[in-house]
Amino acid sequence: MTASERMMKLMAYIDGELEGAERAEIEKLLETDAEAMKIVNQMASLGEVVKAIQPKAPDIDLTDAIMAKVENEKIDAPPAKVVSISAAKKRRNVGVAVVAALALAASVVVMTRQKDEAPLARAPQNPPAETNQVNQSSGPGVEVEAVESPGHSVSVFYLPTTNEMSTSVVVWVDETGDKK
Amino acid sequence: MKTRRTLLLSAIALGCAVLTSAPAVEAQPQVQVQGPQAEVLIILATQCAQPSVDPKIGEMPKLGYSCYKVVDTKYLALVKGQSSSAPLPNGRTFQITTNDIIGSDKDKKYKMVASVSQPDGKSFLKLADVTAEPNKRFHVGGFGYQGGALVLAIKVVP
Repeated sequence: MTASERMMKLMAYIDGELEGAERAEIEKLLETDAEAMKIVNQMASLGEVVKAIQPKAPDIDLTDAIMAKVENEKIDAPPAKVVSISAAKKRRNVGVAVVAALALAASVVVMTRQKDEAPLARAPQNPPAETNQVNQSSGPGVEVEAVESPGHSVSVFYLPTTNEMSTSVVVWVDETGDKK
Repeated sequence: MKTRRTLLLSAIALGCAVLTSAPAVEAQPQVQVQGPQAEVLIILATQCAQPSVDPKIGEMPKLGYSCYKVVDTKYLALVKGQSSSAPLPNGRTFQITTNDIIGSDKDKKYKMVASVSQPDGKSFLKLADVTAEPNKRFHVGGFGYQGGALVLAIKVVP
């Protein structure tokens, strides 16, 4: 028996795990081997210390209690509805889409309101430059009739614009001598 | 999964923020309504070596000049039965008289008389009867100034 085998058997003996021939063998060894006896005594003392430090085990078996509770709930509770993962994902995607659509709609409403209210907030004496670019061509939308005045030549022209894309109404007062 | 949940919560938060902010805009006191106005771009048309049109003008009718520059911008209130005037760089005064505002809100038309003061400044010379829809531009010009001519680009700003 090697040293490690002997140590293992001594520990098993201390723990009461040996029976029959093995137990008799170790008891015989302890009678003749003082070193072995010393080891057994030390390990036994150590075991008592460990037992003293170890918290007292609960009187009730928690495992049994928990399992009993689980069994009761299984009986009382209605069976859980089984939903496939793909169905759950689809439902979640619909929720995300609805929320996104609501957010988008709300943004559009607010932007529309701000657009409608912009002219009210704009200072009339200092409009943004781009207002000069809106619907500049006339033609349809403007009707002009010259007023005849003695001693003045007032003419109305419908002239093409510089980009040739539309026409503009021009009331020209001939004061420069070079009526266009 | 976690990312999707975060996006969902963000969308909800954004939607709530937007919706709750909307009534706040309505609750703000509105700026005093100015009413319709005539925007008058006072343009100096001249002959020059490098043809150019002031970007503020946009499209300009072909009047035979090569350079067009905005020298001033005026806004004249359009109130039915009232006249509104603006001084011109040549010392004369341009005047618009609003005779009537016809049509519904979407199809409004402004019936106006455009006039300019006589050189002596004692009276106004009627130039034209104009019926204009909002944002439709027309031009009045021909007043000699600095070797060129003053041209007024006018449009109704509702």
